[in-house]
Amino acid sequence: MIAYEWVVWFILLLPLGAFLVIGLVGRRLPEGGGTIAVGAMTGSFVLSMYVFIQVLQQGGLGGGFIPQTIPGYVWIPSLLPETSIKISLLIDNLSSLMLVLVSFLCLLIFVYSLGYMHEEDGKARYYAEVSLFATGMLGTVSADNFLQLLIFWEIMGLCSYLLIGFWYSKPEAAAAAKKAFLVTRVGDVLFLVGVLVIWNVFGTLSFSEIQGKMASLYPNTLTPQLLTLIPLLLFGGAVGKSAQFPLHAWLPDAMEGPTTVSALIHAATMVKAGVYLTARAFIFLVPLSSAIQPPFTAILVIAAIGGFTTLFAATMAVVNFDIKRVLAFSTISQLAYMFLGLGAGAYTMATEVSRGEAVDSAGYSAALYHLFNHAFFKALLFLGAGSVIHAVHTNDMREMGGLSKPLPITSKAMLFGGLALAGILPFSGFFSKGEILSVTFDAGAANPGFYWLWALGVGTAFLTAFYTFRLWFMTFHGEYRGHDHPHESPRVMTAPLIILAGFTLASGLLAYPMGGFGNLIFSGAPAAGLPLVGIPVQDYLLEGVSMGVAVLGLALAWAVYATKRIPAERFTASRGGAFIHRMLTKRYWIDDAYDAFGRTVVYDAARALDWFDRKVIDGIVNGVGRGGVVVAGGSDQFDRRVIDGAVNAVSLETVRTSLRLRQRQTGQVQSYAWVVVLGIVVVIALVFGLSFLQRWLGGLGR
Amino acid sequence: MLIEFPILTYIVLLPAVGAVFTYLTGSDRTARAVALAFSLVVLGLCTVLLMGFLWPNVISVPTMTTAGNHTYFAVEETPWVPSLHINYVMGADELSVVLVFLNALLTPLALAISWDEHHRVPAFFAMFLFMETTINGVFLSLDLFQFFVFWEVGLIPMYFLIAVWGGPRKRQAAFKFFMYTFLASLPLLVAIFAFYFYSNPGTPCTSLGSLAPCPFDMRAIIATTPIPAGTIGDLMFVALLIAFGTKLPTWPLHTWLPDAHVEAPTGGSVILAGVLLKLGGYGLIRFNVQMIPQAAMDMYWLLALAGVISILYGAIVCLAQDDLKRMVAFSSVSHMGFVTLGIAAGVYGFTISGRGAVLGLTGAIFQMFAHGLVSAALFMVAGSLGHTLGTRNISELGGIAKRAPRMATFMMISFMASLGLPGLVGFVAEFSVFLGVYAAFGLLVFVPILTVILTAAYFIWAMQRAIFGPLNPKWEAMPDLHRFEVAPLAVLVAAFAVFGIVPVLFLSLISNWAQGILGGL
Repeated sequence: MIAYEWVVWFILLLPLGAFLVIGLVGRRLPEGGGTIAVGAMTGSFVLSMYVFIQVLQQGGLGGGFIPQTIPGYVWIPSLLPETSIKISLLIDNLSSLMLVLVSFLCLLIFVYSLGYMHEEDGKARYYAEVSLFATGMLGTVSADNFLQLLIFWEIMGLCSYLLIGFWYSKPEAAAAAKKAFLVTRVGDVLFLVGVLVIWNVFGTLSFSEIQGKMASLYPNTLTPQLLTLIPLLLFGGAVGKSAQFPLHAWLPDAMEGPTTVSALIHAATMVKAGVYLTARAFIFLVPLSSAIQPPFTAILVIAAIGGFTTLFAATMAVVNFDIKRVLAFSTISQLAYMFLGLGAGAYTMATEVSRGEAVDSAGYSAALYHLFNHAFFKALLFLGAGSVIHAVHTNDMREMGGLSKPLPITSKAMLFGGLALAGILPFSGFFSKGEILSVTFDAGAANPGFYWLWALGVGTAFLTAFYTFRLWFMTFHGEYRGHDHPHESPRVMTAPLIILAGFTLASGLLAYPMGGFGNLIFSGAPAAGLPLVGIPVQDYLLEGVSMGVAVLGLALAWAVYATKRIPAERFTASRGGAFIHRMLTKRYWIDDAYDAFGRTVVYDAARALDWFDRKVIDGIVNGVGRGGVVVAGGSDQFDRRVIDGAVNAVSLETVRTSLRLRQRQTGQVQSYAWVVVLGIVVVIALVFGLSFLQRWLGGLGR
Repeated sequence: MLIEFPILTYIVLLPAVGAVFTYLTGSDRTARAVALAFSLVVLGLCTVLLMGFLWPNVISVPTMTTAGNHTYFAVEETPWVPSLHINYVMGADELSVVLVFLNALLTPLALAISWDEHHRVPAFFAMFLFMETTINGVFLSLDLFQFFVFWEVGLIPMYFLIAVWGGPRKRQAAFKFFMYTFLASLPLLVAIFAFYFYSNPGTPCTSLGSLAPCPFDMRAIIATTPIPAGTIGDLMFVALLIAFGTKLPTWPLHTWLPDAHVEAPTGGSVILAGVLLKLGGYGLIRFNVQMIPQAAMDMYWLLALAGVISILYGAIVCLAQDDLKRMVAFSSVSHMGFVTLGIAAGVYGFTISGRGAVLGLTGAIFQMFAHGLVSAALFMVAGSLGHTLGTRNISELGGIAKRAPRMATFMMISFMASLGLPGLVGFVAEFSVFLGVYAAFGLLVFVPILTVILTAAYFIWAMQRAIFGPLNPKWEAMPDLHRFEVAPLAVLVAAFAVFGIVPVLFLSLISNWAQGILGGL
């Protein structure tokens, strides 16, 4: 139980309030309302710590804390009150840890922004949008059900869109924002369908209620096909949000946004939401009942996409010269590691469940541990890159070099981050990445396919170390190749760097005092001691392998970019090498293919349909209308020629008659007398006729 | 608190009285003020009525009639043409009260956005109030004859709004609008005759417990469903679908809409898209579902098909539009498709999965409300843009966020609401409809759900070209939104958020009603 549970709401409401205040009056506030954003985030962080500490105290390490739902309100009512969709918060080990992680990183990056964004126009817009983003991310990780997760997930997507397009006057930024929104939208649709299926099957969307109903609904309502489909649909959302193949294309372009945004949204937090969602989908992947056949196909898809993407993205990082894009490809690759870990872990767990053995949640723990570590070291790397860009005003590493002298703090901080990313002992990446790889290797016992995925992972570890130190050497080593006068960033920017650099060490060693990271995110299954606490010797070997290849990668980078003993041109000298280089710089032509698809197929279809609408459908309508006009014209002619013709003929006749009559006006009295007589006859006839007509009409009336 | 006056008659007739006053005032300034004052009074009355439904303990709405298993509130009844058993019957239920509130909310906003109209101002503002009377009349009439009178008379003010205050091709568009919708009402008239003859005009009205016959009384028809199932019912269904589908509009009866919108003045577009289209959805539910439920069960597939085609067709055609208003008009076709689809899912799905189907129909009704708010904002933005710049063509804009940040912000928020961003009102409606569609049709939901991507594509792409990118030097000196434009947009944006975050305000009302309707099928 959390004391004063309503305060949990304020973790979300504080940044939301900051968004509203800054959005409405931010332009009139000092620093564009940046201080308000920082203040609100401090509040959120303090409250998150308050919750987290209680969770730890009450659960003790080992996960005895009973997940608690903080009640909210009904969002969509339904026939039966219990099938209503509610908005409420969930506090369990995982969400309380994520709340702390997210609010802490948001706070650090908001503080850094005070320096980084100081000279920008539109600061109010920036702080309003990042505050809304913080609300979205905190809401995502504390959501109690899948729909609420989707709602906050999309709010984050909106903020990501807006912040990528922060410098919207730049056509590249506007295009990148559009791409990010649309590509992730494809994943979101799958996620949405997943939510539809879940509600219709379970009558609820809440994580805990779903888990409870699983056994009773299987296999009639919840058919094995649906059990496979649901996690795959959810994973579809994760693929979009976490930029996995084939929906990865938006993330490198997203680097058009301010670097703080790249650090916060596109490295540390939002892109992790996909991993978080997949972790929540474990209730489907690993049903904790041996009566239910686990969806092995779905698990294999997740692991395979993870394993493939990790190498795929790393290869593109190797050839890029844009410091931020290298980091972006690296983010994709590292996120893929997490999916690989989740997939391998789920496979092992599912196998154990179906055999009725004790369940070992090592993969789950390792993936989330990597999420945790990566959030720190990648945020650090991006903020460091931001500091470098702040100093040299370019993203291009070819115009950098030798910056370790003017930027001593930044260069050391980034070295820490680089070592963590490369997975060198004792930095954090080593522990979690090594653990993911050994879990993958272990899953090979159940399905040999995992040995292949392990090989991909090890290859990636080599490339990771290589591109990371390629980046570091090109930026900080050698001579300065640009034309600026670089200088170290202000304290407000370097302080967060130093703090984060400390965490690249601390977050890796954290597992020891906790008796294993798994204890922090205990998922209802034992073996929380992992990683590194009481694990078999074989795993030390595997960890050794992964670190060994990392050292090799580092050494290669040293040889190519620091000492230049091996010239970089050697790799592109052969025709094959040149082709590969071209393929990698073109990002395997996938972006071009998407562009072409949008530009030609979709847009041409739209234009064809528009033509159809104007010419055929509206054409028929207008044709009918015109037909009506023709008919009307015809009847008009009839009216003029025949009916009016008759009338005109009469009047014409009158004129003619009068002309003739004029000739009769001869002045002779006799002829006048005749006329008078004739006139009297006519008048009498008319009178009689009228009275007859009147009588006739009267008869009708009667 | 008990409402002790004929509130519905006030709601219907007060705007018309206001229209007369507005027309008679000599000066433009007083005309605006009088019109706005009347519309606000009507909004107040509608809010009171709505609160009577939401919180019956606080405000109680009197005189309810229960016919069959449906209850109508605040009923007023007086003989009108006794020889033909035509009565003046007003009554509200949950369906009508939501739509009447929407109309009452949008009318003052439409007046506000038209504040700087300077051509024949008294007549212009009077037309809006006249329009409000006829629309409220349609929603609240419970007598077929009376319904049809309001239905047809409603075309006149909109015709004049387009024909007198419209754009360059106003005559043609107004004529097309009038003729198209007028002709489409003929099947409705035929259907009304059919109801009359099948409900035994000579026998007493047992369903309402009265001795006089009631062949035109909608309550009695809903309670007794006199039309025999089979061919006649199905033909009636198609006839009514043509009548209401044109108003909605559903594919392929939609082509009057883009033309009318492109030429209509901004305020006219707001009412046209915001409320007038809802008459179609209201008719579909009131007539096709409630009065001939058996035929609806037979012909649900036609509704579903029309809905899905409209949804996708409208969205794809949007991608090819250059005129913002035309794009928004086609997006209306697409979004109103959710109404048709949701109704179909509700009717068909109820036999399979009760809870999902109810949400389908609930979503259809809520979509009418949501689309009313969102399309109003969309047309305000597009209209103001055309008003300030003299063009609405996306290709001629570019980067205007730099010069007109408020315009860009409102455009973005309304686009986001329209593309179904969670947290705003449109998502709630679309999500409920999709839940219903999955409940009824299973994974076929993948077909209509493609629109989620397409809709995002045309809106996001339009924004990229219109408000982002480098500023087109032509608009270096463009002014931002005026205060009279900001005010109505701000009200709408607040409504997006309120109904997006706590949709249960209306949803519980609507879903209880929808459940009652479907349970009675």
